[in-house]
Amino acid sequence: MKLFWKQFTAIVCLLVILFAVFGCVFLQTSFQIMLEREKERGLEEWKMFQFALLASMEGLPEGYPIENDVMTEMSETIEDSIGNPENGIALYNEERQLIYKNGMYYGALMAENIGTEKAMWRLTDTEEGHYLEALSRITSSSGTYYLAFGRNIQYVYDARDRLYEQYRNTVLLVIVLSVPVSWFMAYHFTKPIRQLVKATRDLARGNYQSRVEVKGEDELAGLMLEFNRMARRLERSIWQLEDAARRQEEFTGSFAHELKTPLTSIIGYGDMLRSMDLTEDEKRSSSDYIYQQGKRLERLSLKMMELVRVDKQGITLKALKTRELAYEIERFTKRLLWEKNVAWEKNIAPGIVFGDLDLLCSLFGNLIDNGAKACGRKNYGETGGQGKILLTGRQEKNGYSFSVEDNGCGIPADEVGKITEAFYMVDKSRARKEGGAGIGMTLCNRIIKLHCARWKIDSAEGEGTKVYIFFPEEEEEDD
Amino acid sequence: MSYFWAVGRAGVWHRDGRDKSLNKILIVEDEEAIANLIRINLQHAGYSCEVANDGTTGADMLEKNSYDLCLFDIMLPGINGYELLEYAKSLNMPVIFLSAKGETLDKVKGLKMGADDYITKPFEIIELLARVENVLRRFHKMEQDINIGDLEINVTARTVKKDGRDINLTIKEFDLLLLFMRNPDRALYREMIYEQVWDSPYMGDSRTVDLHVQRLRRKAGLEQRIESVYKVGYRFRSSVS
Repeated sequence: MKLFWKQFTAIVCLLVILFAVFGCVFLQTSFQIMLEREKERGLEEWKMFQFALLASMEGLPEGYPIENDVMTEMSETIEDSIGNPENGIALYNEERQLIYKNGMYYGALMAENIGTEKAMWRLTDTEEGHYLEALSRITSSSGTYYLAFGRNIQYVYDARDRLYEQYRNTVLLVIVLSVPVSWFMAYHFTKPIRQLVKATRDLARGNYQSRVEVKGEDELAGLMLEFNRMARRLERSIWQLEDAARRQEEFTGSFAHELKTPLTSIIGYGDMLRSMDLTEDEKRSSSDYIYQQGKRLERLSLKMMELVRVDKQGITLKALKTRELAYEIERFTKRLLWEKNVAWEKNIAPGIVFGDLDLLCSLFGNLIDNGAKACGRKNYGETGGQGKILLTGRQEKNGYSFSVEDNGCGIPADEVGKITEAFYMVDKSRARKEGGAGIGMTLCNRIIKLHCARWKIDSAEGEGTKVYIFFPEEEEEDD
Repeated sequence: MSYFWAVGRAGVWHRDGRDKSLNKILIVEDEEAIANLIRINLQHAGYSCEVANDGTTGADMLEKNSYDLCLFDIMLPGINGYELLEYAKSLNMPVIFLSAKGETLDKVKGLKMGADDYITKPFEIIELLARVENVLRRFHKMEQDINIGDLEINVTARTVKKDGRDINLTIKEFDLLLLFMRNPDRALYREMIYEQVWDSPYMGDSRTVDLHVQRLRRKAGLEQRIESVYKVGYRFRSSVS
């Protein structure tokens, strides 16, 4: 059974039961009160009559013979003065003979022979209806008389029945009205659940943008908020996974391409050498191609090994004094700078960064190598300028920052974003000649990520490139 | 009709003064080594070649000259191979893609876009030559008949005549003959022969190749042209001394 139907039925049943129980109790109580009041009034009138009769009998002069007709007459007088036409009154003498009667009904108590009790009353249910009847024995010096009293209280019962009937109709109306109301309420209450079900189904089908609209502040709204949060996280994770998979695929594709290109040459020239009669010149140039492409494969594999090492090896970050680090970097790149005829300058403020010395040397080595290549590509013209690389280190408020600056050829503005992509080369044929494999910056990116550092590349074409690397003091939680 | 053979470095057979070098091929490939490799081998096979090292130059050359066949790399600086393909197709030139992108999907994409063939790197030179020739023949840019000495070969009808008499060759023997003719003066290794003609990986069984070569020699009277190369395989000589 659906929650909607459960809720709907519960509301309807609750309404009906509440109305019925409340109505019954209320009606029964008010009926009892009415009946009681009626009884009191009846008995009061009966007692008044009895009292009046006794008083009249007392009021007669001493020794006045009290005959039946006297009693009848007195009764009539009393009836005229205080009687109530709703009541029936009957007077019997000692021999139980009816000596006076007034009204339609005066009860059956006399006929039932009540014995010696002075007074009694009861409620009876006869064919004509409900009656209050009473009987009392009046004993005086002049004899014993019986006064019977009857009062029709059927209207109380009738009123109760009428009320019951009316109430029943009301309850039926309530039921009929409660159906749409509770249907609406159940619908309203279960609406968030239906939304959640739909959103969850959407999510399960792979629509990770699926969200629910949150209204109000109740528990379900809380659940919906949490659902949205979960969906958001899931979407982000999925996106990250997809992105990683896409990058991996791109990397594999690019890697295959980088591998196949030199292989094509090696296999092709090798085949030429072994199966064709070539001239000495042709033999030499073919062998040279094989050698060059072999070297290219070697460089690629070395860089790949480095990349794999960075990826696989868990690194331990050690506190490194920046001046010592800079000295190591200098030692590491001195030869390269000398070969390329690039000037070198460093300006390092004392400080400490946490990192792996080898990896950081590799990082700065790559950056400086790139800088030197950029200088090599620029034509400094007549001004006699020279390529120059400046390594600066500065203590910042919450970390330490390095910058590697060159005055080389720079990177075109629209290419800056792409240079960390694996195998991306701004000037492919040139990069090849200079021995680039196209994964230097990818490697740098990985190393920087491993150190929880951040970097930024500023470059102006023809002016030079500046790379900032910021090492935060404490490891930042990456949410 | 009289036929004559021109014998030379290029190893080209001539007929009525017409030779393969009339087939002009444009190579657009950014890797200098590969571009050279293709050029040398195509020239050796008798084609005339022009090389462009990037897409833009390639498009310019397409605009200025007419080519019988274009060989395009797909990933090119400037204009890429797919764009060049559209351009070449609009000029009604057949195109073969040469790419390191070896996924079936890439091939399907290239062929769907209208390339006439798709060669994945790394490739065997003899395979490249075979495919180039196939495409050229399909576009009727190459003679259907090839004549070697007293042999008259119709490539489409797959018939061989010697002095006007039909020679019955099996399918494999005919393929073998075509392979030899396409690669004159080149030592063909048994494994290469096997892989090209039987189209399956060579498992070290050289007898199949030897048997077919011997039968072909005998049937077509090519005992002098197809010579054995010690420990390698066979070589088809373009000239008989």
